[in-house]
Amino acid sequence: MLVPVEWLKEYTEFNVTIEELADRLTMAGLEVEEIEETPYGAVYSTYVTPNRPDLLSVFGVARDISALLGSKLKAPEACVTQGETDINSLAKIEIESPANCPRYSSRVITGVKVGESPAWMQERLIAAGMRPINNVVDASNYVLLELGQPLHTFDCDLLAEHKIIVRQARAGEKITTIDGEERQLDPATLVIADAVQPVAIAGIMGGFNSEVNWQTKNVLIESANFNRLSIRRSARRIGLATEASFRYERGVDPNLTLYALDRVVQLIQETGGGDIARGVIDLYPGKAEPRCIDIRPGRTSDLLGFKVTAKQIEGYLTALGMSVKHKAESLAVTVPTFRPDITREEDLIEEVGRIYGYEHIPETLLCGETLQGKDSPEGAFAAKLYEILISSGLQEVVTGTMTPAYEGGPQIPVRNPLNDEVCCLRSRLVPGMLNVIAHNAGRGVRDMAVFEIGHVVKPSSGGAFEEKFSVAAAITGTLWEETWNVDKASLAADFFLCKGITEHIFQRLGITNAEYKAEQLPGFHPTRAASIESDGKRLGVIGEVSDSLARQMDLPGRTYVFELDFEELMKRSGMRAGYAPLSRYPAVDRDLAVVISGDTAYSRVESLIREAAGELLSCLTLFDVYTGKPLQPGQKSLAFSIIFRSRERTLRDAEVDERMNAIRALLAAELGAAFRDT
Amino acid sequence: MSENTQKVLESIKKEAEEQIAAAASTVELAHIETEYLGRKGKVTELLRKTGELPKEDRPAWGQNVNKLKNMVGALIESRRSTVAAEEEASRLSQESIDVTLPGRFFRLGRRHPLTATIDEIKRVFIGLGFEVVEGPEVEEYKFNFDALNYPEDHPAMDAQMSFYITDDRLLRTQTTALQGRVMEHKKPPFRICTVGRCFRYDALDATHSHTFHQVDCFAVDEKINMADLKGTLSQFARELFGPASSVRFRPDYFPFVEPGVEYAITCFVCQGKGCPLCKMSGWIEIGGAGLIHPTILERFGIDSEKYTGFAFGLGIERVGMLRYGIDDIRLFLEDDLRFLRQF
Ligand SMILES: [Zn+2]
Repeated sequence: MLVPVEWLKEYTEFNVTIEELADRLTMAGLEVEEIEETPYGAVYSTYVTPNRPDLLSVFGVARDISALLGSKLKAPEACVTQGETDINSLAKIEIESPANCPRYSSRVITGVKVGESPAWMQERLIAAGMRPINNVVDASNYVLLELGQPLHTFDCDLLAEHKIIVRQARAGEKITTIDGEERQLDPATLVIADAVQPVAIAGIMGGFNSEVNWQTKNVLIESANFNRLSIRRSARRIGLATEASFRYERGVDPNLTLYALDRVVQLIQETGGGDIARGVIDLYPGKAEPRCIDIRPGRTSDLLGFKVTAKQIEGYLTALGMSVKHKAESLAVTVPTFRPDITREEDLIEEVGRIYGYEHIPETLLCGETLQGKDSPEGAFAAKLYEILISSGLQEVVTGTMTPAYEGGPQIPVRNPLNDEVCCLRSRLVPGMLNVIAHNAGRGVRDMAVFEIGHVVKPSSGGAFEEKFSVAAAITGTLWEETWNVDKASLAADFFLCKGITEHIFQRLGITNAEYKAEQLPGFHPTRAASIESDGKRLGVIGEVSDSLARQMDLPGRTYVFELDFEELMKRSGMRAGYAPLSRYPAVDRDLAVVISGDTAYSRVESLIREAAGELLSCLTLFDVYTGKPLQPGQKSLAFSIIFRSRERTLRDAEVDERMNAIRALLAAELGAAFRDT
Repeated sequence: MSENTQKVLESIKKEAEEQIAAAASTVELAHIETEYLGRKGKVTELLRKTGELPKEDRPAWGQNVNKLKNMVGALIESRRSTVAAEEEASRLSQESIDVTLPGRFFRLGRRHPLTATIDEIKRVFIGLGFEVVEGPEVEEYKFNFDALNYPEDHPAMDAQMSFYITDDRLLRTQTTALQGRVMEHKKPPFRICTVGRCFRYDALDATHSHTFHQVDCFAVDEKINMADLKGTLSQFARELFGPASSVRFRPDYFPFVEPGVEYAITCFVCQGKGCPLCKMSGWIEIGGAGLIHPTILERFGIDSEKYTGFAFGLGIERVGMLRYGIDDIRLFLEDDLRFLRQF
């Protein structure tokens, strides 16, 4: 809200500078975001928290200032000289929707001369950001700003049968509001109607048809209180936010209507003459009483952390417009209805604290029982994964939870997405990884290795969701930094580098039985993808991105990805117990080249060798995979280095030869293998 | 011994001396060694002649030839060490490299500045006895709003515009939503730290993002008050922003705390003197805090007379932007590797 500083001075005195006052207000909870210099003096631009509707008026701000500075507060005068005509002979008012209209108060003023409002009033309105219109409308806007009570003025003669009915709109009704827009109404919207049609959208905006104009003589002034939810929802449906609706949404004091009414008719009469009809029509079906709340000085000191006396509490609360009575252990405080935010002792304690000043709060550390601080199990496990992945040369990225809809697998849609790019929740991390690669390739980066650990959400049975952590990575190009005189192609990542990283993860986590099984997976190269399983449970997938997806996403080259189930990994990663003792005896090293059919899986060969080698096998390493001459077409050769070693003794050549023979025999029997010299 | 044979010895000696002195490489020296001292070498041949001499001449001859042999051997060795040193020096000089050429390295992985900041913040609070708990990003409306005291459809929610998934589920707007989840089953005393992604219906610009990260801590115990809150936040500020940091409270409103404050820390650029970063105020606002609203404690069956609590939150992006001097929040979620590789 824009608050002209000169205007504030009408209600309270202060002899601090404008900047100091702004700082005091900010530090007491009314943030002065900016001080604007205008031709009408300094104007505060304030941010009012949604719980403090009382600060949406100049007088309300003055009240806080007087409490802060201990200065006197002077309320604007509202002195009405009534005429002879009874208001009931001029207008009739009914409330059909009392739930949405707790109070409707009205006065009528006749024989007004509509003209320009006085310069002082126009200046204040302009300084507060409002446009002067005429003396009647200006007076109502002026009081709105001054006291925070929205007011609406009708040309009484344009109201059919001089009647006001507060009711819900009827289906199909329309109204042209004073901004010239025709608006469709619906029964959820509260309207002010005359005997025939709506003349205003209650609490939001008046109607064009009943507006005060230069010919208006007789004016009916509405000073009403509307249900905040009703106004908020209507304003949102209609798409209109006004000074009035802004205040009603936050809660206007229902006991303010009459005072504001008197204040505005006084101002209208001062500027436009006329005769104030005798009496007020005041329908008040939802009467609000001030609250009575006890506050204990001891509790106040305990919560704020510094000592406050009963006398200080009484002083601050009284200055804020509350009345205080002393009881044995506490103070009984009557809270006026303009402070709907104060409903219990803690609210009063906050008032005491903020007026006294939070700078008085000392600093202490939590005492009480010592508690063991710790990370969550997921956080602790993620920390382990981070360390492994980063040491593998992967860069962490953070991709969006909301994604476009992508192929492959159901996703949960966002009901009200910002746009199509963020319309679904991610069910996997890989698409985000590929996006990162495509995005960066577009900026000239060729070599990338990225990973992410984050939540994914999938639909599960019965319309429920399954939300869990996942971990994924994508690699393209090389893991090496740009360099010179090195053949880049020889450093390029491939499926096996990607697999090597996953093996490294498993090894570090103590998962020893991960199995890679060739599988056709959507989005993957048809013959270069695998699922990873352990004890029959899927740990994840790995493979090369399919050509078509790579083209579609504009990936810079062959790209390899894996995505692993975070929770399965976590479940399986044990505390690693023990280590393999080191042997003091020498090793015997043998090579073996196995010629087998090209479609025999390496894993099969490996397990047969291990089986035949027995417990003397210390290390088995594949060092060459060969096809081509002199082998037959459809054959391949796998060359191994096999190291034997015993923990108890030096091995004799003869027993190693015996093992090698057993290996050859088993491979020949099971796979029809032949053997080459290496 | 005849003069003649003496001459032979002399001439071989002279010849060897000259050849050795002239030898330029260890290879050449090896040849010379063979030529004189090898099995068919000139000196060896002389020794072999011993048997042909008269008996009485033999000892002297033998002595002289051995002398010659030793002398040639010593000369070769001495020359060899010189030549070898020269050869090594020459080889090493040919191996010279330009040490200013760029080095080679494999690219190391790095953490994202956001998650790295999260870890640092977690470390501080774990050290203060807080336990980290995880929660879902797709949160129930009742935890995100109702359990936190948001009045039905109140303007307080205007700053929390949400993405809805179903009628009663949304993408959490604050990790504070975990308060209810924790208090449903935990009895005081407890100190909890929640971390995670939050979402608000905000279009993307330099300072707003529909997706952001938050840390939210809360503690419930006997006698917790505003001073404990201030002290805890100061401790945090000192750990993260330097030992000169202090904390300032200013009243603010959040439905789940009472009293509620906005907390600021001493500007770490100007140490509170005033600079462009802190808009000359000397303070940088970090987040919201306050004492947990007693209604919330009561809702979960906690005696609000006996127990009180505090809660505070902070935006990771904001902390990250401050610490790294980043002026555009979008950089955090853009995953531009040219940006990420700087951390
Ligand atoms: Zn500064």
